[in-house]
Amino acid sequence: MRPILLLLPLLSGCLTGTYTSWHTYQEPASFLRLRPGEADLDDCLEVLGAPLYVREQGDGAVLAWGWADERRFGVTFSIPLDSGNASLTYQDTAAGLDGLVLVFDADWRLTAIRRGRLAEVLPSSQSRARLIEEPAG
Amino acid sequence: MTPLMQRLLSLLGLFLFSSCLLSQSESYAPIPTQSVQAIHPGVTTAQEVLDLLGAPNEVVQLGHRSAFRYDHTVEKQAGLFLILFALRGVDVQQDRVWIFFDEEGVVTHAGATLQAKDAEYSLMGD
Repeated sequence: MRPILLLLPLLSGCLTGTYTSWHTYQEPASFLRLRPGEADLDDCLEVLGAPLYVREQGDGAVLAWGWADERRFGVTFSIPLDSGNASLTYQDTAAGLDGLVLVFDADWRLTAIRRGRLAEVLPSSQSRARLIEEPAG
Repeated sequence: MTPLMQRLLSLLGLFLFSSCLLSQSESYAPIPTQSVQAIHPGVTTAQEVLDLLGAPNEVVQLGHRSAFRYDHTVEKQAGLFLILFALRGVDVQQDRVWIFFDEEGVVTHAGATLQAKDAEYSLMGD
């Protein structure tokens, strides 16, 4: 056996290639049935199930559904040092949480649909200012 | 033994240094399907929902209305580690329920996605 093969076990942990798949949820094609001005919250919950996110938006609300199907290849090279571990990492990621954002009015009627990366299509939080009513006393 | 055979056997020997990993993690309590089915819009109250499902993971104020979120997550991970290469697959599935209430605290809408039991061990994904 060549000496290099004897060294291979010593190299483990120095150079590592990894393939990681991460899967959760799937976009239902049936969401195309949902039309702003026609669908209401019951229709949306029936087609899309429970949302990931619910927030107040004006007099209504914004609901978001998301899914991820991520495959990542990575290479890591690390060198043990006296004072710790130095490492370089390369990762090619085509990932992120894609989803749907649905906007509802005060009567739970669907008014708008946005599709894309949730980080990009979710509106910033817009909670209404409220009067604080103190108990009479 | 020819040099080619020696090389092939040496490469084959590398795979003897492999190891495997299977792990499962869960967060929050499972959501009983019967409890979800016992929630009826226009009838069930917030107190009855609390009695059925316990304390929610999140309460959202929607004007004078509100919504409760319940979830239960199962993550299954499978891994194969060779000397210079590793494969890892993670499947995360969730039971998630949102219940919406009117100003009087009566259920108006309920949405459930129950998929936690579908989590699988898989190295390469679907």
